[in-house]
Amino acid sequence: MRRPVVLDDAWQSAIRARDVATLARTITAIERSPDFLLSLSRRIFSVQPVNSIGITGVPGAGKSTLLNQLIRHYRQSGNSVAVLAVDPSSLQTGGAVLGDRLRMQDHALDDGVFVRSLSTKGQLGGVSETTFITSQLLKFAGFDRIFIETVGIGQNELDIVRVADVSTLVFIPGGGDYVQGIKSGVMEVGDVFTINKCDVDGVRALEKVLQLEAHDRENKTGFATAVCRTNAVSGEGVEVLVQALEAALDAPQAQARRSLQLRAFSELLLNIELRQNWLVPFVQGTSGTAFFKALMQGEAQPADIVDAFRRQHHDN
Amino acid sequence: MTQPIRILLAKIGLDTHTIGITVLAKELRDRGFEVIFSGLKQTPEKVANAALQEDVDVIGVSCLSGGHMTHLKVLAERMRELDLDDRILIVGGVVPEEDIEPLKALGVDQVFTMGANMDDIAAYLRSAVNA
Repeated sequence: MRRPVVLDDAWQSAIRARDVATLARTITAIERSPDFLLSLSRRIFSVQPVNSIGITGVPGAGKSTLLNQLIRHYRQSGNSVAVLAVDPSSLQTGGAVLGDRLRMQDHALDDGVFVRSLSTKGQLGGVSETTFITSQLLKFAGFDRIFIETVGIGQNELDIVRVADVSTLVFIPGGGDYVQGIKSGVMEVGDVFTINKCDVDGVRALEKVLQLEAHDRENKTGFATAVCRTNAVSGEGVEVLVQALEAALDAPQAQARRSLQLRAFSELLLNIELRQNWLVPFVQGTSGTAFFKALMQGEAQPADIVDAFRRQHHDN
Repeated sequence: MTQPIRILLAKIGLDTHTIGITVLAKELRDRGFEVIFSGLKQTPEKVANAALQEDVDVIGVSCLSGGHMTHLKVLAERMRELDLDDRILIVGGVVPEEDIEPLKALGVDQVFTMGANMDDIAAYLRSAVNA
């Protein structure tokens, strides 16, 4: 069995020294215990931004392969890099295949690179509940840049804005006309737009749609959104993307996002508390079990669960 | 939900027979495991490093090239150096009967050869990890 992680001075020294085993075991403990998550949050909380960069986009856009190139650039300029790579878990079994790491093999023996694969644990917003606090832990450990790769997303997985200081939305050519570009939702996520696989047909058409959005934003907010072309296999365009990401980290939007993150994280902690200590005990307890039995037998309707919950807590 | 078992699956060396490891990844996924699929052409050093960073409960090495004795000797040594010898180490693939005991002497916990049953593998891992 695993040794428990104790948040003492020895732990702090090990984390500050970026001891990989301690870091890895701490991330596991965050995932396995809500109480540990809370204690850790008290121990490492800081209002400072962590210089985290979100990488998001459709499945197969090349996010992990692009990260392999981004890591190379940041390492060449002497920065240490941590990566949190999120992949989906099954809603039925909780199982997952986490396959981002294999695209980042070039850095597998580099002490300045830490890669951890996370499953969403049933969350639908593109990241897991533990992603934000884990990025704070990596900052506490002293990593210069922290990348957060979301699951492959569609039109509505926006949680990356609540966990990363800036994000790039990765597109591939051939994804639809300009109407896709004027919808709410996913377009709001990108502080930098990246067109990956820039060697295939349709790049110019996509670029025009994204530049239209970028100019519109600039008119309204005064801040330009860069539109970058990359080829994650050859590395073409990655240097320009790095410059765009660094500019976005320095821009006022990144600072403003910090308050959004802290608010979202506080609400998350409260949500976890309500789920652990109120929702789950009720659903699995006597009145919850009785309600579900009655529901299955046609003697109750879904709205009755609210009455049952209120009754139990008024009685107490 | 109970905590899923984390397993790193890897192939070491110039062995490109991927069907076994892919089927295993999918079947373990469907049995509630978190599978970190680290792919082909790994070295024992890379596998051990990945296991450390990912804090896995199990390392599974697929080998159909005949290189299992060499690769597993180096991997088991590296795991000891990184204090990972408390993790379960399994090998699957084409392994001659007479190599199974020598592999176990190196530190391999269990060997699954052709025809192994997926439910047996999952049951073994659950009992070994929770032992």
